[in-house]
Amino acid sequence: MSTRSRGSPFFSTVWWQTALLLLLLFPASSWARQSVLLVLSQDSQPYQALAAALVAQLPARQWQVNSVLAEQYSPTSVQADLIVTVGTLAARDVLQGALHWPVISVLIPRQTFFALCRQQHLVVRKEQGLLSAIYLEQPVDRQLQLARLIDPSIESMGVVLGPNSHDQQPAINAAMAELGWQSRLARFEFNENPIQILEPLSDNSDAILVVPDKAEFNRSIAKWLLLLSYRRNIPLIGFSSRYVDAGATAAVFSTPASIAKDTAAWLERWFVQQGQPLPVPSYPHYFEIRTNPEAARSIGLTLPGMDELEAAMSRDSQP
Amino acid sequence: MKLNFLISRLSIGQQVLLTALLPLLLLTLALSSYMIVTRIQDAQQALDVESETLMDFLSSASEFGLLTHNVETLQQLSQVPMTRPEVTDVLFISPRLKLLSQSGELSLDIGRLVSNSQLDKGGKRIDLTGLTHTWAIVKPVIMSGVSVDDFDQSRAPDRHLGWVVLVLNDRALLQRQDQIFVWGLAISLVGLLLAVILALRIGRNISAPIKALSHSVKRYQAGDQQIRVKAHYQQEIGALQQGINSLMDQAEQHQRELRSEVDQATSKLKSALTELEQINQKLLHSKERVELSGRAKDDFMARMSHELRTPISSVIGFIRLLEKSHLNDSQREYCRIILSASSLLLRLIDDILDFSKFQSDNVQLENIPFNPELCLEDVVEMQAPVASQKGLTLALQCDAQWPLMLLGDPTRFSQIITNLISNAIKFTEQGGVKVRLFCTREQDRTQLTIEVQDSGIGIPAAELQSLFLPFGQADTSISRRFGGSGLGLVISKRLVELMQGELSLTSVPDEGTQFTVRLYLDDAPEQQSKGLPELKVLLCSPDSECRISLERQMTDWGCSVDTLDDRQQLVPHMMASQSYDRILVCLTLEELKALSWNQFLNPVRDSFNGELILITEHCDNEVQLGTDRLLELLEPARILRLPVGRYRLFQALEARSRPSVADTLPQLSLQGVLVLLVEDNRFNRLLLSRMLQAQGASVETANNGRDGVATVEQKSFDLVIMDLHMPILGGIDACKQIRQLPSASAKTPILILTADVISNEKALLEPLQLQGLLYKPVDEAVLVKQVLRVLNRDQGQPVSEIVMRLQRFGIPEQELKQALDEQFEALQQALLDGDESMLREQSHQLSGLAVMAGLYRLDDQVRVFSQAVKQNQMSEAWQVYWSMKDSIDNSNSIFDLS
Repeated sequence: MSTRSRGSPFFSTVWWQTALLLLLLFPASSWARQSVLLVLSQDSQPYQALAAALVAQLPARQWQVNSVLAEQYSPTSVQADLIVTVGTLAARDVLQGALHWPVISVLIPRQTFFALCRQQHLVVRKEQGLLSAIYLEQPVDRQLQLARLIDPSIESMGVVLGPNSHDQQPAINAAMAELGWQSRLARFEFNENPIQILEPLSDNSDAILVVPDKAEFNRSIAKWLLLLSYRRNIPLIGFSSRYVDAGATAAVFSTPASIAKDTAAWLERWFVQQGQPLPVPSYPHYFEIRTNPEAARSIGLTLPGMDELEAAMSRDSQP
Repeated sequence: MKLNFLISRLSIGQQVLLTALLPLLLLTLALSSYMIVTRIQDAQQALDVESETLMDFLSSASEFGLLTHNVETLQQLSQVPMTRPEVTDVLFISPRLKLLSQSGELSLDIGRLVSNSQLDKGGKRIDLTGLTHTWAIVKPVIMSGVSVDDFDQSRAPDRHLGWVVLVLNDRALLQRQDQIFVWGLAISLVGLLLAVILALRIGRNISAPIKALSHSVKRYQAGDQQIRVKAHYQQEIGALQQGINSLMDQAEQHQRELRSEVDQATSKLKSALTELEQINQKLLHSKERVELSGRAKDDFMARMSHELRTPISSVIGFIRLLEKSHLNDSQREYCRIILSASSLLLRLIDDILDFSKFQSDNVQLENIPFNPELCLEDVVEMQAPVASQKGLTLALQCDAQWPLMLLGDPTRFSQIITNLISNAIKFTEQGGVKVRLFCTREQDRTQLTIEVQDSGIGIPAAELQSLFLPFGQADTSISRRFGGSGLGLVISKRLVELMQGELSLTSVPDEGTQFTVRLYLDDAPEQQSKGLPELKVLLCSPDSECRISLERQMTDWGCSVDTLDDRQQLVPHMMASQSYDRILVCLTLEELKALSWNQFLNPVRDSFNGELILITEHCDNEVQLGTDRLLELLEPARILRLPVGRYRLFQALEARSRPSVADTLPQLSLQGVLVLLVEDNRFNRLLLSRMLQAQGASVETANNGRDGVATVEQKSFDLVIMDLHMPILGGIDACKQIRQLPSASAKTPILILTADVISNEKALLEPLQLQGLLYKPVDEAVLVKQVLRVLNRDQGQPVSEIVMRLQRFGIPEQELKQALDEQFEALQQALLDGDESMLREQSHQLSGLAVMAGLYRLDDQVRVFSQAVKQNQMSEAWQVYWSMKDSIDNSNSIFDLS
């Protein structure tokens, strides 16, 4: 299994803690810098990794980055120029409180962000460019591109849509059409027998694309998708590193580092364009690719090299 | 203990076998058992594990089939488990309890199976009704999810897809277990067999060499000295084999050497025996020479003792004769001194003679009946004057409860006690000497303990040991101060040892010494009477202490005693009561001398015809005081001297009117007797002649044996008194010649006169049929008594005495006869009347009359009569009466009844 990251490596935990300490020790210099408050959903590894990577990405002379857990967050004690929420929980806590600062939500599914922003004041803030998000998911065309790169013979693609992802059906169809593929969509609810739905899907598709949905849904169907993939000898394109570990042929996905990189880029641009609104919520620009050569071999597929894949993916991702 | 005993009885081979086999056996059994049990358990566990694994496999593999209700998939899934023998059936059940697939043909209640499995999380064994050795395991199939979100860590909910049921049987397991058991058993048996073979092999390896060694040793012990242990063994057994062979070699070599040494020693012994024979011959010659010299020594000792004692006997005899003549006080004193010195010299000679006899083991003890108490009293009485002269008290205390007759040597007994008492007196300056006699009866024996305790100078402890050595007086200055040969104690000790007794002493210087003699003597066959029951005694003594002591003693003997403290009341008291058997009157010597015979005795005799006993103080010089004559006048009263010995008192009370003045000799008792006295010593010849002539005998003398024999040959004598040691012809040879005389003179009685006789001479005298021995110095009384005994005159002696007594009282015989007749008539009347009190009174009076007249036989008969009356045996009393009456009537003289 090979993984290739397109971003720079994170600073070690020690380094960003030291930097944070220096920022706390010398608050007097903050007048010349932009202050960012990171609100983390949990004190777990992905969130801390993202925070550390973000600190590492931002020049210390310009940025003062403070972080707080969502459960400790209080709008009254915020002394920052901008708030970055990391994860769904942090976003929900921050957006539900008094909001006087621009907010960027990262590491949040697209559907979740839309659900949180249904309130009027948030809609307004989003339109004013004071609230934006970098989605956790990758755009469908990026996944389809990866599928095309690993198996150029694909003519039809089976896609499983769950309760949270069924609204992507038009986008998927459009992307498929652009590629000239036949779209085989399967939509089902959680209580349905997945085999009864997936088995015909796999029978009629050259590959299967998995679109992220609710975590429970993802977990429930993963085994069957993998099983059917092997039974039918068709590649399965996943949406996470774990999918590749579980047996998917390949996956394109974001990592804390890549999201930090996207976030840092947004903050730099926001800092440079003082007074300009934040970018509209969008899919991440940076991503990671992983393939599972063993799984590919078992279904009789020979994968291109990682460099070739990255180059092709990077080329195709250029705006 | 029992196990040890059993093991010890096994041979070494068996023990080794047991030692090797037992652990192996136990180990094999234990391991086999463990292996079988473990394998059976393992098989069971393996079945459980396999079934569990199978269930897990079926559970996870059947997710897809159950999810899709794909029966084909499920049946394919069942095919593999069904090939296993322990699997009977595989069932897949939907969540709605619909049987989706069943590989076997069992009819099962699915609902019950599922409901049982829901009680836990499945996997539990469920027994099936109606099916033996078969059970089911039911497990729910839960759909598992795959976590595929990088940023999501939540867990997906389980989804129930149905159940998988695995029906199992244990037939294969049982088969397997049987196989395990059979194989285990077979392996155990093989192991056991191998263990036995191994144990036998090991046992034989150990025991065989030991048996071989033991066999060789036994054969060697049995005498096969050529035997050796031939096999070659290793290690310790090899070392043992070599050691035993080496020991056998050494022993054989040693025996060879011993045999050689024995041969040499035998030859040496033979030569030594030859030498010994020669030496023995020499020794025999030497022994003969020694015996000859021993006999010469004995002869010398006998001659010396004779030669020494003879002149001293003469001196003593003449002094005693001289004392009887009219002498003034100074002359009497000189006589007394000479007598004392002579006696001392005689005793010294006796001691030396005794000692020499002890040295040559020539002392032989007599074993005749004697009364030790009497002996003690005699000795004490004899020593009393000496003690009295030194102002010492000499007390005798006898604890014997009755007069005792024992078997022993009275002479030597007296000698021992005399030595101890004289020693005690000799070394005591003030205080006194106590003599105590204790008797302990032991069946037929009596342990006599005599203690002689003095308050003298005592003996230092360091000198006690040398006290019993010859001539070993504690201090040489003692000999000079107290005199004596120093042999007394030595002789006493030797005598006591000869009597199988013990002599010991304890002494404290300046406080005194106590000698203790313990003798163990047999009882004499005839004992004296042990009491004086029914003897009525009247005791008159002004001295209360004396009175109480005598009264207690007599009461102990069973006497009935009345006491008076005033002599003046004696006659009135007797007048009032005529029933006394004995009357005892205590008098001081002065009272005795001042006593008017007529005033005292006649009134007593008028009212009492029984035994009158006078008790007076002792005086060693009665001759000087003139009391001897007085005592003669007092006859027929019996005189006892204070302190009165227990035995003498008993004798006095027991005796019936015998001549009462003990020392008074019968006058002219040898009237008409012709005696030949053969004695070489002129003084002795003269002394003995005077003694015999004084008693009325006619005496002829001869100077030696040859003259004596010639005289006897020429003339007939009533008696020959022959000295033993004489020149020319000795007494023994002379007696032999007399006995060989052809005439009747050969049967002439002979008394041998000697200073002493040693054992070999006694042996020579025995065949000569001699009539007795007279020891020098010859006591006048003893001489007369012996002569009378030889001549059989002693039976007639009382007659003359009774006649003299009656004459002295002025009573004719006829009057006595008449008195007796009157007494018999009164007795007959009493018998006829049957009056017991009268009978007792009359018999008592008859007894008193008989005793007074000296008619002892009659008195004996009266006593028998009294006894018969007392026991109310009147016919016997009549018989005795007529017997007594006939005796009086038919006798020529009433003195025939004496």
